[in-house]
Amino acid sequence: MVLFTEEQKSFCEWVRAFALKEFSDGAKERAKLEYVTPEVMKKLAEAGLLELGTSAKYAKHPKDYVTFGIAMEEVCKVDFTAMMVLLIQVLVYGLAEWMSDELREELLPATSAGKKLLCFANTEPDCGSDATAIKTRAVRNGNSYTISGEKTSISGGMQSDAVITTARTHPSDGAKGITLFYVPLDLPAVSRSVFRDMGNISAGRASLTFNEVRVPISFRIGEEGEGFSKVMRTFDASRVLVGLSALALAETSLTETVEYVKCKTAFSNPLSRFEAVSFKLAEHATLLEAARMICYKALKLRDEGLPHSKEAAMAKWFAPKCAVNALRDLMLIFGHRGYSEENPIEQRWRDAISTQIGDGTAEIMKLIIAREILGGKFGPTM
Amino acid sequence: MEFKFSRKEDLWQWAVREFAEGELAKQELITLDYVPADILKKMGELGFFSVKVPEEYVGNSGTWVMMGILAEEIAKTNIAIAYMTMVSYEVNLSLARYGTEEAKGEWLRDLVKGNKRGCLSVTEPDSGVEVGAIKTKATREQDSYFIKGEKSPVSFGMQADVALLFAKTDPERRTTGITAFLVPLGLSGIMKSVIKNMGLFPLAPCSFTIDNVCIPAKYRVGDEGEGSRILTNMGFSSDFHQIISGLISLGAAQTAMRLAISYSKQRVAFGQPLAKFEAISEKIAEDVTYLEAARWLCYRALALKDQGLSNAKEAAMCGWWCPKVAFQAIENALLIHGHTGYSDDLPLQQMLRDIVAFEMISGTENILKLIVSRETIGSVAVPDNLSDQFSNY
Repeated sequence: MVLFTEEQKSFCEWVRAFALKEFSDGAKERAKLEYVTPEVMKKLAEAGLLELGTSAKYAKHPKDYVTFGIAMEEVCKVDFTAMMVLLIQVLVYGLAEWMSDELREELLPATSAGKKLLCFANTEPDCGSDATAIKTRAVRNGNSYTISGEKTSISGGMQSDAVITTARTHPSDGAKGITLFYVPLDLPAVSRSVFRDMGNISAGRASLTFNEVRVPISFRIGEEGEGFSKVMRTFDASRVLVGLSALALAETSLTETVEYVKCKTAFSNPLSRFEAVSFKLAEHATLLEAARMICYKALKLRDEGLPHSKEAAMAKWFAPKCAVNALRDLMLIFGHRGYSEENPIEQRWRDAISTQIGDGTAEIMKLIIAREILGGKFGPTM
Repeated sequence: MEFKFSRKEDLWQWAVREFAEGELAKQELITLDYVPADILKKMGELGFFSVKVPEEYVGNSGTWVMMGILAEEIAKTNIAIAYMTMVSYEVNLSLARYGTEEAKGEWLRDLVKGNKRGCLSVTEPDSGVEVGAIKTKATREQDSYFIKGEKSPVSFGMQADVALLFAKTDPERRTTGITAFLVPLGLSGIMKSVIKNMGLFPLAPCSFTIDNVCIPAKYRVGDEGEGSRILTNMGFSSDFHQIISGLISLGAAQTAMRLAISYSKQRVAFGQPLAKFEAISEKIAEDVTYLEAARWLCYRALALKDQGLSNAKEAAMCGWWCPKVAFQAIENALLIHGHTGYSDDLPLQQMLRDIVAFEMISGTENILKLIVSRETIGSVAVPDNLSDQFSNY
């Protein structure tokens, strides 16, 4: 079994060098900003990393999802603030074929050039994991829709130019009453407010309030009632990519810790000589590697057009969990140094916790896995 | 076998709880980079720093269990202030037991009343758990000592008036060359620089650069070479430190669980409260089990101390295990709250950031397990190169 093809291997080498060269400087400072800097977006765009998964004919890189995963992992190893910008492509390109020509032509060139940032909104104050319980309404009047409701916990919500949001076009139809809309966020009927989060600060997580926002019919993506199923198709990719971004945080920290324990001495020995330290590193290296393999397996299955919801769900709960646990232990190996802002590990640990929550909690992932392995009839009901 | 507090301890718990829920409940206290003077004074007035301090210095008799209650109850609303009470006792009781009458006369009453603040300064850039490796030197010249070196990090260093500081009077020796001193921090020659941490903000730790600071010999605490014993007795390698930091973690975790329990009843998903889902209720059931077990482990270790019995094993167990189960409970409570737990609208994220520090506050988990190993397996379990610090108890 080959993990990466020759083409993917050389992409990996290239993107690793690119990320180190372009993003090493200032990464620690950028992690404390409440937005992704335009420079980061510009560099990603120029390198062709905002056309991953695109159907654009002349995209610089292969279009497969394994390649996408490599980009996510390698860039986030250096600068996690890029994560959100890379991730949103899954949705933008995943939905492109259902966009109106007008919207597609306005949107795709701008996002792939890093000139426009989008975010995705489904969660509402009263529903998160229970994703189809949304209440935001979209009412059609002639050639436009009027959208009203509140979306919350929207990563990129403060900074984005526009949102792709779910809204209910049918009041009582569960998943089938949900439709997707493109909504520019500079409209006066939209208001936003920021969350002050413990980490992943550059995501500028926000609540968005739509107060009778009017959008033209061309801003509807897909048909009425198709929103939920269309978005679900992209989740199997984005969940894995979130997993890889979390692993990236832990992998970089593991590399740094390995160097630290060789230099730092206690009781006249390098820390690495103590089994309590070195075995912990061995354990986390094992778990991170295992989680990484699940991620790439899921992406490979996706590239081959095979079912991969189970693997994607495994990746989404296991990789963030392994990453968060590893980061905590690595931080503790640094002792009080790890606890101070001087060391980037504490920031990475706080960032990684966000990957456990966003894009579906561990409970939802386990529900998906349980249903897959038990069969719908025997799985938990919900 | 009675699993309950005495009448006096019950009343004490009630008094501490009333204070904590009233005066400490303000959220903004958690992100300040100091403990406000009025709070310190109030705690002094209520006798919170008086337990086991001699009566002439406004102290009272009381039990070690009472100190546990104090830490646990305060930590339910403010982890950093609970930590401050622990450090205060370490400084005050070390001074009361080992200090000269002059030093006690000048400092102890004000420290116990909350008019002055103390801090404990052991760790250096090149020595954390390895106390014998400290390099700060104290050189005797007639009736004075000249102290020179660097200490980092020192919790409460920025706001403290005085430090119980550990330095080598005999650099040739390791743990037996260490001596404790009371060092007023207003003296010229002491430079402070603040360290920014991810949590426990009111501790405002800093590093001290001490450039030949002269202190009178009466400020030596204990004999020369007795420093390591003081640390083991009442400092950061003490059973006290291990148990109290355990109870602080557990106090915070109990609050986190309380929040998770009430959220699980209110929040509805898929038409049911979260509490109806086993994935949620089992997590809560597990964590409250751990917290209950850990809490009694702590109080047993304190009860042993009150009876004058050995508690080295039990204390070390508290030291590594309680912060771990507390961390896990808070982490689960945060994740049960989903995205709302991740922002500062709720105290959970700050609790997690605060409590993770307790996993290294009594030395690392490994060092504490080493003590448990030594107490259960025997000295054969202590690696040779660690024996000067861990075999001489």
